[in-house]
Amino acid sequence: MNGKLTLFVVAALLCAGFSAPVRAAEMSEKEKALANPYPNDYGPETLPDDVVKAYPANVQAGYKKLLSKTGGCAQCHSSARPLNSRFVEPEGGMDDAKQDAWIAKAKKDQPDLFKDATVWQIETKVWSRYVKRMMNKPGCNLQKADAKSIYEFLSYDSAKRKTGANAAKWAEHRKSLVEKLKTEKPARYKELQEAKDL
Amino acid sequence: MDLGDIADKPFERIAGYNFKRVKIAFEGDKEPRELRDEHHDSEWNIQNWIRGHLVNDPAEVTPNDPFAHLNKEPIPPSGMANYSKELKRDEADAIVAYLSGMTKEEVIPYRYHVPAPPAREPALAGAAHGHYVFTKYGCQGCHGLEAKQGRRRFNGSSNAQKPYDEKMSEAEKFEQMNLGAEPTLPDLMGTYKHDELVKKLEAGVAATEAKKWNPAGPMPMVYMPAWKGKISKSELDDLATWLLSIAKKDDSGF
Repeated sequence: MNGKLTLFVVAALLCAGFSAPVRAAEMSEKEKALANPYPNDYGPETLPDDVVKAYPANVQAGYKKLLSKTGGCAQCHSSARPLNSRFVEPEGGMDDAKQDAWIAKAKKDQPDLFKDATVWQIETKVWSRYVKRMMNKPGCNLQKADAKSIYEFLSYDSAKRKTGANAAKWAEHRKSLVEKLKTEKPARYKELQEAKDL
Repeated sequence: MDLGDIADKPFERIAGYNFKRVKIAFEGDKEPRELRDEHHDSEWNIQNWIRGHLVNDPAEVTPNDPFAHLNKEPIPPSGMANYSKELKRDEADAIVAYLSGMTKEEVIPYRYHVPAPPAREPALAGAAHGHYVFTKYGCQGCHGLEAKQGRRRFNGSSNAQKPYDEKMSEAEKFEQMNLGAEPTLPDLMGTYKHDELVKKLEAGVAATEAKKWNPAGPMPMVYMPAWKGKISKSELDDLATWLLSIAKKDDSGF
């Protein structure tokens, strides 16, 4: 007898049940997000027009795709989640070494960016990893070209809108979202704080 | 569910309608056949009920009521994966014997315990040990042998499905719901860092986080348990190392 095979069948039975029906509250994706929110979810679902208009054309195209409810991020969750995220991907294009160099320089020139991880999570290729993760989730209809376009927006926007001359404005905005979560959902705030996911 | 209850499942709770869907090849049979229900020689018993789930597709044995024709709420087919192509008959019989032995003491009034020595852990480290951990805890029950293909998750999502369309016929909807699947891990692993993956394994994915393909259909039954406290930290570390090693090559271009 193959012991490993028995183990996995037994484990699968444990997870699946033989035939018992499962009844769970019916919730839309948005309701699910709001039931277990991140600070991001309390922020706006769009960016101000003047901010977007100042971006290059390809970045603006990525922003439009992000907002799409049929083939973008908003098919599964509110666009507020990526737009108000603490993630910052350094400037440097697709080049990891250039992004690493940007971080090294920022640590000297803008040390405040590294003091509060609830406001800024600065990491090489962070948006690349997350967009690919979402793209590969079962049932995600995000096409490769659209995913790349969304990535180009998120990467460009995160460095532009959250660092440099805009760092203080971003910090104020992000801190207000964290504070709102703390006030409205203290248990969730504590959970995320303990998991370092705030 | 508690598998200890399987051996003592009240017989009345198993519908004859479902027993008629079980096909098993017994000794002397050339092909799998329906079970006989003759008064003194019934093959409708709990052992064949369990065996039937192992040598048939459980969703065909227990289709239930996914479109709520007979019930107030939709009820998905059996959430158990289809192992009939992977399990040999003697392996299925061994599982039946194992589960049948989990009956309550009031059925077998005396129980003699002769504990076996604990299985010796192989002397492995890193990714090789992580691979062992993957099999030790039965991860392939949902994610497939060697994590190569996520198994069915009825009315869950998968990349093989067409977008949901209200106008589809019930038969078309059923076909798409049946294509729902657990994640195929190599597709996702390249997007995690080691510590993120350990955190994910520890937290699991709650059933309520499931994205239904058919919004009016039943909730997908299978979910990822939270493994914190069930798998040791060092095992989780090695499991994460192995999972990261099987990530598919990134051809996304960004």
